[in-house]
Amino acid sequence: MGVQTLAEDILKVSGLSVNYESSQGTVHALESVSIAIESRSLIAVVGESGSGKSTLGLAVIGLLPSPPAKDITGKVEYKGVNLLELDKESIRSYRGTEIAMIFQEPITSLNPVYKVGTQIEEAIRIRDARKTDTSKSENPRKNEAHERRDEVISSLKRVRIPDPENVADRYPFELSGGMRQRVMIAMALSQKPSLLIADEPTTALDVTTQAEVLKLMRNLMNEVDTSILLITHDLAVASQVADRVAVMYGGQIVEEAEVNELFSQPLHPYTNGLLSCIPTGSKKETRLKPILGNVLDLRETYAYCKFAPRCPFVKDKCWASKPDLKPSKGEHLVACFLYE
Amino acid sequence: MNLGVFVLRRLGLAVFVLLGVAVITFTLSHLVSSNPLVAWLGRASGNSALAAEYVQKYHLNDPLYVQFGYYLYALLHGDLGFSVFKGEPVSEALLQTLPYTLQIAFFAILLTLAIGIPLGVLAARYQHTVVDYSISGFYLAGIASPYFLLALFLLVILTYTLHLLPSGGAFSPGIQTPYPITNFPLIDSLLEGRWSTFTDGLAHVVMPSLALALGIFGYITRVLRASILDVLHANYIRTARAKGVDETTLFFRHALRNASIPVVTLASIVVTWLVTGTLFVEVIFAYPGVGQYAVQALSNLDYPSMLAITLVLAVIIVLSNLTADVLYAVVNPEIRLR
Amino acid sequence: MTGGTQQSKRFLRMFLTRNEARLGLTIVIVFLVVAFTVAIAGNSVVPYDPIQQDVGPILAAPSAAHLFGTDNLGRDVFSRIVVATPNDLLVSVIVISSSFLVGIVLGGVAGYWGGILDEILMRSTDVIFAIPALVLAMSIAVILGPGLVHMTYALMIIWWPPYARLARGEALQVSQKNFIEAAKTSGTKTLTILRRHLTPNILNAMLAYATLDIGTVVVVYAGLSYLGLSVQPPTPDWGAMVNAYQDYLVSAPWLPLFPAFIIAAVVIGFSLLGNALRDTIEAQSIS
Repeated sequence: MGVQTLAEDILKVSGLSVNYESSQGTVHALESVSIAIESRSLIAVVGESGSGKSTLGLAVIGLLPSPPAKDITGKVEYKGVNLLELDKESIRSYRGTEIAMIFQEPITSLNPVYKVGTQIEEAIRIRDARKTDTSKSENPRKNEAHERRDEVISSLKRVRIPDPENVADRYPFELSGGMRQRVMIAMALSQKPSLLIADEPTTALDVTTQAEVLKLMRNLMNEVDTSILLITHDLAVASQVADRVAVMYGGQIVEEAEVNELFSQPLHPYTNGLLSCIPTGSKKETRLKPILGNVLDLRETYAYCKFAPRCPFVKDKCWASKPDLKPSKGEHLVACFLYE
Repeated sequence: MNLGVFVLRRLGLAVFVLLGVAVITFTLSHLVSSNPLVAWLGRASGNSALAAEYVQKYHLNDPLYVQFGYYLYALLHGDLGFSVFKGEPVSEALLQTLPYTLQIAFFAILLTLAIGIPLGVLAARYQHTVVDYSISGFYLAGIASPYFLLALFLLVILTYTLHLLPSGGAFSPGIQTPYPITNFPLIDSLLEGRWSTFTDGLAHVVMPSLALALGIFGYITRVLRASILDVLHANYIRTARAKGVDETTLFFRHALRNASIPVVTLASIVVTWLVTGTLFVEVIFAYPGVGQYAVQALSNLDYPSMLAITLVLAVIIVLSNLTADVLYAVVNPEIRLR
Repeated sequence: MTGGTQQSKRFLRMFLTRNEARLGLTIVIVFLVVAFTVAIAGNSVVPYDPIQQDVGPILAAPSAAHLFGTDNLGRDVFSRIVVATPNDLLVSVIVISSSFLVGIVLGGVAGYWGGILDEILMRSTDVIFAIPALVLAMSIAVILGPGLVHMTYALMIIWWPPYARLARGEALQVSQKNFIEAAKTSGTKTLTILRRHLTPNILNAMLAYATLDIGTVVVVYAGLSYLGLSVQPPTPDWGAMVNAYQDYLVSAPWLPLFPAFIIAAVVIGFSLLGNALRDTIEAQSIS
């Protein structure tokens, strides 16, 4: 649907749609979403809550809660294989060692009754068991256990955790938020995935820690040869680490571009609105500029552009049909009738 | 954070509580009659030799706080008074009857877990289906039943209708009772290789234990079911899936381990139920344990026995609660910090 | 406060839609009605005099004339069971009410003020918890002597700790909330703070527990009665009846089983009610 296919795409999502069954009707969480990620790159998907960004992440790794999710259509091609066509067991074989995911609140995302070292070790064991498919049993011999322990320590070192031997024997509740998130990253990366999906990994952290974790993720990408799909509501976060940025609204991608290009020349009115929301702190600014209008009701299906009710540049055409995501110049994609 | 420190603190608390219980029994013993001898000897207080001995040993003519001190001294030395209707010191009677009650308690706990845990897992797995609702109905009936109903019920069905199990006693008449080594008849019969004695004893302990288990397993099932459902929605389960953990490991190693934590808190309810229920169950099944002893003491107005049994049962409960607390700390690492 | 009454109405609606609630309420109301009727009108409400012997053949099975059969002395079992209803229910309601009140006061104060008051409360409840209710009641009974009133006293003495604990927990939580600070700094009197903020929260949590607990008191009282510590024969009482009739388990099983089932029925009724209450309270606090 207008996305350039590059030879080295790790992930290629085409026309992905997801509906949720809710007590108040069917919610159209994702509508025909297409996005691609090259190897060794970091793409940030930015959107407000309800934009569908988390759904996108969960759909790729196959963790959408299956009721209430239904009607999953489209293609999710990972290294050429359409994951949506696979059965449960096959998808599970991709999780962890091919596609990994880390989540927003590290305190609830780590098992409270096991030490963090044990949890990382479990990830490593799964990876090892998959490599040597003949020995699926998890009977550790003595030196294997020792090796794994060493690897746990080094994975903690890699995420710059101080005193990793000590930390490995701690329970999650004994660590700070930033440390826990590093542990989650260490755990995910220890399985050596080619794609890491990070769903709001820094939202629960304070600004300083946020910056550190983001920088860490960026650096590790090259060290470990992993691509990252970063999901966030915060443009500032995206600007710090992304190669490309995709903006989502109402379950659709409305703009996608290389990061500097997006920030210097935003095309879609929504992106524009988002960027002007950020207070610059300059003397000329007298008031904050919100995006006018109400949040979209995703239970409705729209035959027109979803942003039309709030768009300062709306035309008649916008109420008549929906714009497709198309390249406007080079690799800068936008879904807006202003540019057609 | 240290498990050892935690245990020590709980131990201290337990000692304090036991002291409090001793205060209560001491107070009760003095409310029984103005003559403190009655609390020690019951109707035997008429026996001048015994009476003189007790007055001397425990300073029963001295002010209350002195008496309390000697009361504690007596307790710690195992002197709990004299039981007239039994014709022996209370401590002797307890030594005879306690093992039988503990046998029932052991099997009752085993059965409670054996019934309660699988049903809890099933109810969670088949949530909101017929299976779930019938399990709820089943355990609700159990919990709601007064202590004696289940015993009578089992008697009617298993003994009088199906003729599967004996109606009472610890052993069938004619069975050779084992020589007391540990004082626990079932263990002793095993140790001595008396197989027929062992199986007979087992057959006699099943119904009392089952009567107790059926009344209490419902709490475990209910809590476990709710807990499992809760845990399955937790974020760390999602993380485990994202790591590629398979569903079986996910359920047992991740979910169940967390879900069983609230169940451990039920331990004190279970123990209290067992201790109370055993009074009735032993009477109905004529099982010679502490419960039967207590009820006999009641009808004989044997104060020394009653007070001693109250104390002993409290000790059992306090010790079980202590064990449960320690178990809880083992299972839930967060608790150790407090 | 119109907000309050609207909330209560909504609560009632949410509550009554639950099957558990309807079933439980029905059972409980039936028993309460019977209890009140007997308490007021006495023996005239039942077909036969409950203590009169030989109103029918001995050990007769249930029939139209004798709904629950007759016992070994020819007394009508149905009449006896009905007449005994106020005993269990009255004792339970009284014990729970007093425990509730005592618990709220002691627990609320201890939780709110904390410090040594709290410690004292916690330790004394620890000690009482260590002795099983039934055994303690038995000991008290042995000292005071048997009888309905004495058993009620005994139970009242030992039943309040869980309520105090609940109230204390709620009071502790509330006392640390910010709006209490706000109320204090704006000069609201302590009593008003307690009344307006503390009590509604505590009330909710304890109400559900109390309803479930009534069932437990019924069971414990039935146990005490079974042991002969409550009303003496020939006055009918459910627990005592089970004991008296249990020798007839084989020849006339309805004799011990009917009173036992009735006790279970009361407990089930209150359990359903209590469960429904608790679930509705939870659901309401989420919405």
